[in-house]
Amino acid sequence: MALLGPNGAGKTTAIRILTTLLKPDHGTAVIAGHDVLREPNEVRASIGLAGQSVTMDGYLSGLQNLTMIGRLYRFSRRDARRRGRELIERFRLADAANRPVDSYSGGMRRRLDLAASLMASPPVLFLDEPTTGLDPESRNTAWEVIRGLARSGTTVLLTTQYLEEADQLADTATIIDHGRIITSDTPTRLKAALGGGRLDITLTDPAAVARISKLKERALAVEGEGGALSFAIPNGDGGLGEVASILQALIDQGVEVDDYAIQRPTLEEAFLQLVGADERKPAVSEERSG
Amino acid sequence: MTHAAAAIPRAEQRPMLYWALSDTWELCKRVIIQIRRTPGEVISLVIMQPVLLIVLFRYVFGGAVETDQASYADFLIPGVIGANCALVGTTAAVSVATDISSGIVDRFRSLPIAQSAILGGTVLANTFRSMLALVAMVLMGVLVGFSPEADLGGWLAVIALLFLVSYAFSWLIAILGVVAGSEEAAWQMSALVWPLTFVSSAFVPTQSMPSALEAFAANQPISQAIDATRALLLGQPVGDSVWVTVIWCVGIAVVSATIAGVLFRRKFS
Repeated sequence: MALLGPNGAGKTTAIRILTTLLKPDHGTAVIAGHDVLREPNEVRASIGLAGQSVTMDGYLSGLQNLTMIGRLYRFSRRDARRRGRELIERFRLADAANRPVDSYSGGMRRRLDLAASLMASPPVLFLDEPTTGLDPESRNTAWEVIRGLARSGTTVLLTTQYLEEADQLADTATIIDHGRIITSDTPTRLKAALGGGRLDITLTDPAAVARISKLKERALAVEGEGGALSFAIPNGDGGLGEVASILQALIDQGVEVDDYAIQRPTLEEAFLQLVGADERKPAVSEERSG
Repeated sequence: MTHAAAAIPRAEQRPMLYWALSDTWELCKRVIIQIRRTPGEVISLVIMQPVLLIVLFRYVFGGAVETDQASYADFLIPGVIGANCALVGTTAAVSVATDISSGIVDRFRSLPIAQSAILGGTVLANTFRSMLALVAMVLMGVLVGFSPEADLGGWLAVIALLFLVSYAFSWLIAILGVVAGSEEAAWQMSALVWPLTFVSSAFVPTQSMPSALEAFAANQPISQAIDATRALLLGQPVGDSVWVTVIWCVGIAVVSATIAGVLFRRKFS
């Protein structure tokens, strides 16, 4: 699952509530069958968390950090060390295993953080912007790991600012802004909904807008002065028909067109458009409970 | 779970109290490793500060102070040792504030541990740090003319007592660390303990103070701890001071740990 939203949308707050770090003002949530308010320690035993900030002790070595976390998960000393070594190797940190974490690069710290969240192989994993600030290579490694985990049955909830990342990793993407869910769907369907094109038309005579009042209602934006009109074009089969019907309407009314173009917005633009449109649309107010 | 399940360790089943202590110990070890990795900080904070106090008082103010002991060094060294056990709480406050601001506390809070261990581990480690200072102060003391008379039992009693004093005051001042939330603020706020250590029997006999101040100075817990330390190290009768100190410290530790715990939880809700 991916939680998408711009900065300040409430992604981290949502994660903090779901991982028992923050008490919600009202309502509650259930993780792996345990209520975050009533059974916080049972929740903590079922989750792993890799936050936005690196949460390792800089003075301890990578292996010492993991062993400590293993012990805190109540593993025996030997198990904690063994599991720590295993993850250190899996995340290609073996060379730096005994160096203090302060000497690690940003990417290495992120990998160690991810390793820490996997110590107890939790059924539910929370990753708060796991790839923000990573170089492309580290990001690909992280993606591979996350895909592998999801395939092996771990529920992964990750937050991201990038639709592309959600598309790569998630079965469900939920877009939030100002703490509210805007929409939730499979990334493919979201992409289809978001990623449609735009037909931009500039009329030769701006005043002619008056003659196409019906068409005007369908427009996304009308810039009266320049006579520019924009229309949303859905993805797929509907798209061509939509373009044809708009153009036909113009021809029927005898409105002369100075310029026209079909724009394909990037996914990011489309996403921002949707988030920006939040204020105008009634928000989908469906409370999530698990 | 898949085939990988065999390789994933299982949590051991033990009583809750065992885990509370085990968690505290694991988080304490973390801070002890930090201490080992920062020798410069240890030397400047833990060792230089008390050693400077000794030199300053022994040679600058010492000549002007009349005490009932054979030498001012015999009066001063147990005093500095006792007072330092209260001052050492400062580093607990700083550790706590640093952890809170760094985000590592979030990591610990998301683990299925006894949440009391997060502060408890830091406080315990700080108590060990204080014992390090104790050794430095005794050695420095001997260099400036301190001649302890205590036998092995006396030394062990002093160590146990000062461990308790350091533990209690580390909890007390850790509260400031929770409130401060940042390293700098923690430093500044914990300067509040300094007057408490000076208005005590550490550096001058309390009889030499104005009567209102004397009543406070003679009875406050740091003075009690200092009086007990002095009597034990010099092989003199301890009177009630040991028990009064123990009661004070247990009280301070319990109350402070509770307050620190409540404030810590409130900080995150």
